[in-house]
Amino acid sequence: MAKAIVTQHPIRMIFELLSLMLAIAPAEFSATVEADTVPSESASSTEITARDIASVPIRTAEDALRLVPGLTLVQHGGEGKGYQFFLRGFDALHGSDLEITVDDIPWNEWSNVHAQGYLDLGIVIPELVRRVHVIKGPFTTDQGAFAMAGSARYQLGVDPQDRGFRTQYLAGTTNRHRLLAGWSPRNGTGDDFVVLEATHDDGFGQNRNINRGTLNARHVVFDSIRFGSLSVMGLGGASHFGLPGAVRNDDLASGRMGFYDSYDDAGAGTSARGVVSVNYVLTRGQHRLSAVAYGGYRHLDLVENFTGFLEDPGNGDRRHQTHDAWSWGLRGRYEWNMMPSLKFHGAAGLHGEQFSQASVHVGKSLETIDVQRNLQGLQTLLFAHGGFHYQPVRRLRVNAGVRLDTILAHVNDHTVDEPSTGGARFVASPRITASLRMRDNVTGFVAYGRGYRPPEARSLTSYTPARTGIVEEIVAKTQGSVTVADSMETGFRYTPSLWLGTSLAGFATFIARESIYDHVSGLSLELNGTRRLGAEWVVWSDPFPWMRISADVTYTHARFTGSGNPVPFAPWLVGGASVVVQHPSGFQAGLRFLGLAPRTLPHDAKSASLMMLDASIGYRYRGWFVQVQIENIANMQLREGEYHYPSGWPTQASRSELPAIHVVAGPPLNARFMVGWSGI
Amino acid sequence: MGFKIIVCGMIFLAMGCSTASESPQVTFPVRINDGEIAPFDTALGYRVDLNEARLAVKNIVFTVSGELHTASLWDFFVPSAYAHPGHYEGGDVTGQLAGAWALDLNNTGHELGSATLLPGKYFGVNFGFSRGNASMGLAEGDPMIGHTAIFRGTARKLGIEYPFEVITDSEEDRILVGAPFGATLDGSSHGVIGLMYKPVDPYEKDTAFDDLDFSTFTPDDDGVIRIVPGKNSVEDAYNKFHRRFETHDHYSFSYNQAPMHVTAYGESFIENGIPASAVSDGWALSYKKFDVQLKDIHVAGATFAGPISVDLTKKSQGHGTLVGSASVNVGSYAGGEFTIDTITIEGTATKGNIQKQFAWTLNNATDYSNCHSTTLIDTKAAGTFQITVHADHLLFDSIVSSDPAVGFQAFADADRNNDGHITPAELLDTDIKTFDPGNAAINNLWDWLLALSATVGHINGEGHCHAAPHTHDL
Repeated sequence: MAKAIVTQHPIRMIFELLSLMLAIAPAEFSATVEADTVPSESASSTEITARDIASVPIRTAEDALRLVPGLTLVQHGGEGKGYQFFLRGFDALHGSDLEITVDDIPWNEWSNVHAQGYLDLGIVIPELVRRVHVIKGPFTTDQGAFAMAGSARYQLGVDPQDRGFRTQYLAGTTNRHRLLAGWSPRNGTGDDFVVLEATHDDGFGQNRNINRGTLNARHVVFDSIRFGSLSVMGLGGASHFGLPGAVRNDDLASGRMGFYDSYDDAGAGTSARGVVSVNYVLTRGQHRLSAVAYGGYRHLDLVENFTGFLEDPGNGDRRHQTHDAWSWGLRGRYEWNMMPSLKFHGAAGLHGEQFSQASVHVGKSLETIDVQRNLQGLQTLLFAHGGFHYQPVRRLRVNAGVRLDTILAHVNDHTVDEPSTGGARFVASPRITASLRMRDNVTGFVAYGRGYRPPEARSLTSYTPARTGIVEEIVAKTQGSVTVADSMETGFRYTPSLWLGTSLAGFATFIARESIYDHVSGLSLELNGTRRLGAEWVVWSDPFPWMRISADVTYTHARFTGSGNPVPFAPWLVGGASVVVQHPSGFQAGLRFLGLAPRTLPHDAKSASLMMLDASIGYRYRGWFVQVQIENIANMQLREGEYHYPSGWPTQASRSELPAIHVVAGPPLNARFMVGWSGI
Repeated sequence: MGFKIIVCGMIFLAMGCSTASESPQVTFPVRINDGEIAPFDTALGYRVDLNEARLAVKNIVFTVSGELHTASLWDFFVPSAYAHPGHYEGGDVTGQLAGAWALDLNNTGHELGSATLLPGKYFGVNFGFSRGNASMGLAEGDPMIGHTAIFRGTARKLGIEYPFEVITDSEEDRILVGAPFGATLDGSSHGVIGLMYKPVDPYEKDTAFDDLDFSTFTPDDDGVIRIVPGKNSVEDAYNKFHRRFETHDHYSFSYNQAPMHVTAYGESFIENGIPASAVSDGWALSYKKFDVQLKDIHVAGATFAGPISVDLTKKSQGHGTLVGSASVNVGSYAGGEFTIDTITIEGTATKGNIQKQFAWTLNNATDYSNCHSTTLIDTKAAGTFQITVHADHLLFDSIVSSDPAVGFQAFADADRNNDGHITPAELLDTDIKTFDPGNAAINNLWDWLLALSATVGHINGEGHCHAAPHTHDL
């Protein structure tokens, strides 16, 4: 906790002037707030706090990432399905290039039937997200699989103002109803909690409804100097939701389809997951030992149709995917302060998934037409990493290490003649970060690291798609390989005053050759090399301890190195701005703007630009809390996702196999009112 | 709405408020290319000459490789790799020509229709094998009806001829995947896509007929060997042929090539004769034969070695007579070269009730080069390079004058024996009198005529060429 000293910021002067004019007694500007931890890995590392999250409208825990400069989220299904992520020129799909952990539990689903590295934080209650630490790039040894574009580490807990018994009800204009009830010891640390949440929403357009129930709980079993700290956490939930799919741009332009319409009312999904973890920490002198063990079950069921009747004009192209998986893992971490300037850190562990999955082409009555995928497998990731944190002088910090990962997989593919196969892959990833405090208010950073994405399970099998007319000599199936990305970043942070700061980072990522899972055709594709160059500029200002204004812009030049063609879908220019107010009087407000330049789509097509403006305003008084959240204040037709692929829907006068732009709508203007109480 | 514009304009000025834009689409005619199918040799030593090759196909689609790594080249041949949000475009179909056709593969220049393609680097074409039916324009009773392909021709070996007919049927959903098509297209591209049947695989040199040992087949009563579906005695041969027939080795597509026709045209003076009004001394000429033998034609990068004889007296409605066709790159081509090897003319000159017959063969091979004309090859119509022959030049009274008189009296007077036939010998024996040969040492009318025969060649009407005695053969 820190007392902030506020200098004469121009905005503050305006406020004071207004206060004088209105004869309002100035508020207590010298407020006490919880100090932000300044991330130190790289110039672009970002920390999102519970305060940030509470001040903007969010629906899911993933929405917290919308506050991260340069990170773009798209929901191309409906609330309940995993998001698509774009970061620094990466189209990370559903998580193939972005690692997320929740209290040290790896959250990416390695070989989910829908997408590699699939991310779904649906069972994480957003109000429990105390902090999200984002590293853009694979720069620390703790970053594991899928961290090629970066990592987001969620930490759960309850902030002081919400401790005690807590309940809140939210009602929205889309017939959204959300009830949350929970408890955290009033005088505790926020690490103990139990929170229950239930949501119903009709959604803002056709086929976007959701029903969800979630339970999050954690109990600190003991916490002593002698025996350390042991906690047990359980996260669980289930949801059923509609999946609207995407709408052809030409159908929107002609009025054949409404902006929030859906072609196929059968699109739906069910998602359920339960995770239990045990976390232990022991500190003795210069040594610190931590360990986490976890296990869980996952079920995902999706019925979607993006291409209409293109591939099967009679039955349609609906696809029913099911995925069931048991996952478990163990990680131990050890730190040793060898001397004041040198610390060793090392860790080892494993992560495993036993899964069973299927993808079935289904007809109009959801009857089975053919089985496209029927896979069972066991995947295990063994890892160890170690390194040193070295601070030879006060101004210089160096953290260097290496990470070793061994990937083991055994897969039974029931669609091929030789169903049982296995494989092992190995990858070594050096990582280093360094920071130099050049002046008291200027710090420079450099970082380098190698990130990796393990191969998707089916890429190890002998599965080859049906083909005709191919001479045998052309067929040369490649086995799934580990994709590695070499990333580097350099930049600085400059804080000319206590109320103003800025950071500038230049980054580069090189991928020599990429193995990627095409999550519809079931192909593991080998793509040509890519490189991504760019820069990120962030400026923030804290005119008061209770206000933060920030703005950012990220430019990325992402190209395939051979052809020079742009990497499609990923935005080349992203800008954002936000204002967060949490006044000690209880007044809270937030304003968030996101702008995306037109995104490059394949074949010289371009998406529209995108602008989103959300706001919230609330007031907290003696445990009561009211808030109004408004999404899309300008009521613009948000083309949140735009894609380029062929489809054949009955709206088309003639069958065409040519790709066309398809649009996924973001929310229209809608409002949600929330009232809550916490106390006792 | 105003608020939106303000928000858009003020905050997002740098990024721009733009609407989505679809890929540009370009249309290209798809035509049968490459001329008649040349005879070829099979692995068993047969020389096969196809005089009929017909194929029923449908739904042609064009594919790009996207950014797939070449190590997994096969992936882009998978036609069902349709996209889904977030996909890379590996193996995308980005061009198509929908429809079904019964193609005569020897019918060079026949247009199937216009294909629509998106910009991209194209590597392959897929199409479906179909069965001939009436909607393809086939007449009732056409043997193509119900079948995928018919090949008729003759196989020869050791001096023995084996007339044959091969009919093959493919499943209706059979797709040929990966016919080569190398082209890089952008929104400004214009050209023609040519479909080519390659009886000989250009890379492996195999043919679909390699497994057919014609000497072992029993011909039908009409002497024709028939290899058709359902005929037990040739089942093995049929299956082997069919398997090779359906591979992509024997089909290819090319871009940026448009048909160019080389024609020869004698204008009205040769097709209808030279009227008396066009001749200063009142003679009128009509031609029974005006045969020019052409060779060494070079235009737009194409070569027609020849020699090719063309009788220019055939009525052509102003189009001239086709000398040859080729697929050439779209563009504008200046110049052109050709050689007129021999001119053979037979005709009648008439004045009042006097008629004079003539039959001359003028062997004065002349190279015409640096022709002052431009040949345009584009997609709107086949480009034409017309060799125009001016028959009136043979009646000029001067080789060097820019405005010579046209007359026949001197030739009529050469008929010394007055038998009505002007022979080369009579011309050789007749002085040129007042004709102006310039510096040329020409004394008799036959040599005069040979000299004038080196001036008749033009291009595209009045385009002049540099004429010189033929110096070499290709």
